[in-house]
Amino acid sequence: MKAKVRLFCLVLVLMIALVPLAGCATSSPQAKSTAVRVALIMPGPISDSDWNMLGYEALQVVAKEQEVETAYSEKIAVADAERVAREYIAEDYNVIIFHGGQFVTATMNLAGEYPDVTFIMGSATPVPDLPPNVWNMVRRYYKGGYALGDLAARMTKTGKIGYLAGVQLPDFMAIANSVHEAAGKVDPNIEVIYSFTGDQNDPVKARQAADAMIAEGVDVIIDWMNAGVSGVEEAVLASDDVVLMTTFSTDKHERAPERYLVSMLLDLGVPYSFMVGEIKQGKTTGVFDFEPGSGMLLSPTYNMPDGIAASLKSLWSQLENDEVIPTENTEKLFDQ
Amino acid sequence: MSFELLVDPSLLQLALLMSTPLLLAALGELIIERSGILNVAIEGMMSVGAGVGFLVAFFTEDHLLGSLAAMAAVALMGWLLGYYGITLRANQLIIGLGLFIFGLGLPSLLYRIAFGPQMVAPRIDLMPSLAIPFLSEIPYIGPVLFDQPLLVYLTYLLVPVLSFFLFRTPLGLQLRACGENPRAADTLGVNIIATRYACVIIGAAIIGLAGYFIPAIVTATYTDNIIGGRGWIALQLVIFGRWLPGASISGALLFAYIEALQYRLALIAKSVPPQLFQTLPYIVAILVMIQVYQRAEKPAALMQPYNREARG
Amino acid sequence: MSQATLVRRVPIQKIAKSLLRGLVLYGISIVVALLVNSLFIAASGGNIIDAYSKIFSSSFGSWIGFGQTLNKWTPLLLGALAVALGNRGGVYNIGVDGQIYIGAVFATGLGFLLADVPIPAPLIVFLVLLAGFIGGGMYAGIAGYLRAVYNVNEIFTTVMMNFVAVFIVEYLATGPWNDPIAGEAITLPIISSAHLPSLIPRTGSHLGILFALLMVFGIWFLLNKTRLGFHIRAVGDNPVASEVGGVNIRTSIFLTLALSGAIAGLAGAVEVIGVHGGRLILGLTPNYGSLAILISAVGMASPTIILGWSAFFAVFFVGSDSLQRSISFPAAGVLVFQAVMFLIIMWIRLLHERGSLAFLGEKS
Repeated sequence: MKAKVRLFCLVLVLMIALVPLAGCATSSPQAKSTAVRVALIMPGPISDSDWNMLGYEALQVVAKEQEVETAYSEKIAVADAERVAREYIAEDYNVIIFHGGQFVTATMNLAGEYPDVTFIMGSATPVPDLPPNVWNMVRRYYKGGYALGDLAARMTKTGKIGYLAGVQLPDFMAIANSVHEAAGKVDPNIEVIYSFTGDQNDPVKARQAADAMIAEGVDVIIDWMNAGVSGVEEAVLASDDVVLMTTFSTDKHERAPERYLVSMLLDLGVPYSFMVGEIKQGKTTGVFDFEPGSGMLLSPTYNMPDGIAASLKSLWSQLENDEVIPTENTEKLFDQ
Repeated sequence: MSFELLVDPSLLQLALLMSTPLLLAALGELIIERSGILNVAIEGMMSVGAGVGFLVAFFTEDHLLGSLAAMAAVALMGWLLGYYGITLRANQLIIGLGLFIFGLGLPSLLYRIAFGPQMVAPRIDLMPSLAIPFLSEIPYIGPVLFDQPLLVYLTYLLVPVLSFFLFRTPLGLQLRACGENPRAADTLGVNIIATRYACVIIGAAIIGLAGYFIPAIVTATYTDNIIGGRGWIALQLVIFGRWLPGASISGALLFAYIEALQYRLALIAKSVPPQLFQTLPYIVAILVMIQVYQRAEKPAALMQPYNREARG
Repeated sequence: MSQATLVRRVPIQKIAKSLLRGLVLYGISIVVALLVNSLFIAASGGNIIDAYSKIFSSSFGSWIGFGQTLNKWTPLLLGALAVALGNRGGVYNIGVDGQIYIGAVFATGLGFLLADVPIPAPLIVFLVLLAGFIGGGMYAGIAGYLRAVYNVNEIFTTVMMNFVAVFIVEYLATGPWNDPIAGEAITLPIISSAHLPSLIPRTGSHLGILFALLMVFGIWFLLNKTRLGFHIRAVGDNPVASEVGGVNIRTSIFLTLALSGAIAGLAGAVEVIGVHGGRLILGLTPNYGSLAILISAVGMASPTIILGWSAFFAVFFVGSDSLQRSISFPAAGVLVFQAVMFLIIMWIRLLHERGSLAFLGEKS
């Protein structure tokens, strides 16, 4: 039995080795198409009702506003991103959008090899030595965090506000720091309690972490998770105390109508459509600051006095106009 | 760090809640292993139970139907394991691992087919907590022990019921015989094949219910990897409990307690990287197992396919 | 009767017949598996013929696809070899994912340490790979030690250690080694001279497959031609008899697990310097460890057979991504695909071993 199976396997391997020669003959040289064709590569599922879904929605906006052909791939692990991008390029897609900051290396590798293809990549801080065919979308979450920190400080009755995020990365630490900065301006005695669960998308961990915060006396939670937010919502709903929460990326107030304050919405259609528009006009490199006013906006407000809602909206406008500029501290957290 | 932190009632309440899926899955696995089958697909089975149960509960808005769907779907997986392991006499460990991977992917696929991109994550109403009158008003431990969802009470009640069944009924004896000495049991007229099939299907159904627990009682949504390794913990709880229903309780409670505690500790000990706390439950589990393995005695015929025609 | 006639010559017809039977058997299992998987494709609303032709054309219908398939083949092959070695030695190494991660950690760490040391590139590459090998070996060695000394089942310890490894990598990739520009769980890159040279230009494929192929030979040689390999196999086949025969079972089990982990660790190092440009990332292994177990089972723990099957799974891995683009097949389906294929192949084989497939002739 073993000998023949070995033989079979050798044959299989040989077959695999020979077929590309056939493939070589059949693949035609790339026709230069002038139409802009956009491909979006996403790290997670579009059914996540969060980051990846937003990417998908943004792509629809791009298709409509810029009148281009689009395609997408979801749940692409970082290890596979380069490969998937190459496959799109082989199919004549000439704009590749990487949806997330995980793909900086992949982008830099590909940009050099394919000078006729334009890439859009996201990151937390500006990428140095940007190649001439790469657009860099720099996300400035901490600016939005400042507004939410201010809000939480005004709404808290226990003097303790919480910040709950997944992975302890520099730009998520920057948010914690700007929350702390804003809260300190409202009342220096307010305590900001932060917790990093390690996974943006794990609601079980989120629930337990939120429970721990609530047990410590936190009564406003600024949630900065993706799919893990449902855990926070359940913890807030299950609590006998009144705990309020804000969320990030989409409006989720239907899930906890009486505990929900506001959400910092992300409209990725704004940056992506803008950049594709620029690319269509021949501008293939640049930096786009993804910040309040440029793709980040406030959702409608709930469960707060009108005075505080007004002050939140006015603070937000000041952030949009750069009248208020929070400190960006990505090095370490405020109490270390 | 004060002592009060360690015995905070809300912490204990959460620990008891989170111990339930572990215990329930362990009980299901115990039934399976006592009959002589090793099922390492628990993590995948719980995943399927969570996913299928969530989908049915969402569309029917009924927890009972969700629970039944979860149990039925995983019972089917149990049957599959039985078919490979009992009828085809395959290596149960390898097949179990294949089912595990299948179980990881399937609910994700079904969820994606059922819902595409959605603005707000589909959500079901959590199973409500049922406060038992009188008992739940006992100061301090009342709310911890007696203000929990129905499924928690049922699970803990299952322990003495299962114990009684296994050790005090003739049917239970037959079941154990299949796992200890199938040849002897066969000569005495026990149908090994039927018993093992029944056990693996029923045990799997229970495991499916344990999986459904997570979306139904903890998170109200379904996400990928929602089981987070609990299936593997449950596998070890059976050994930790020396294949006795009652003894698995302490293991389940210990793991759930440490898991819930780690978040409290992380809030206090700021300079320690949070990931260190996250490893705690798993490292503690390993340390505990070192102790346990010295003394545990498994069912003698565990994982050995039964072949009537074979000699010896 | 001379010595020569004691060696029976198997007639050519018998070999051919047996080969044919094998091809038919595995051919049938692959076809059935593809049929079952097409149910999933249909359920997502895709055209089946289209889908399958896309799978193959994207994984080796072009040089890029072929190169990427090679890249995927490397960790699957190494992982399966690791599992297979463990199996032959009587242990079940479910911790390949964790060992890949820790091997990657050691490799990246050494890369950082050697940043300013003036040594030639090939030597750095060798040292980094060696670090991965040692790292994975040490990590699995912990499980081996617990099994050898305390009799703790390695299935449990290796699985638990998978989780711990993820936390370690997450800490390193978001903390001390983090690359702040990316804003994700990715480390800074190690020196570029440590990166693996590319195998086929402009396809992104790297040399790693050569190391994997060498390892196939290495494992085969170890198991069949060395004393250690003999001990490993003896303990795997019949622990009681081998103990009577003087083999130290505990040492053998420990070494088997350690070596198994070392091979997995090597895969981790290769991924770091071959695929990710010298960076350790969270998500380095998308379930390679679990797939490795399936491949090893289908490959009956034999290095040469695993060589073929891992290639087959690599083709499907790479190819199924294209289904997303061609028929909008959800990404979650890939794992299901692979698992179903595994179950069907095992099913057909088990039926055959049981004698249920009479038309194929007797089981050899």
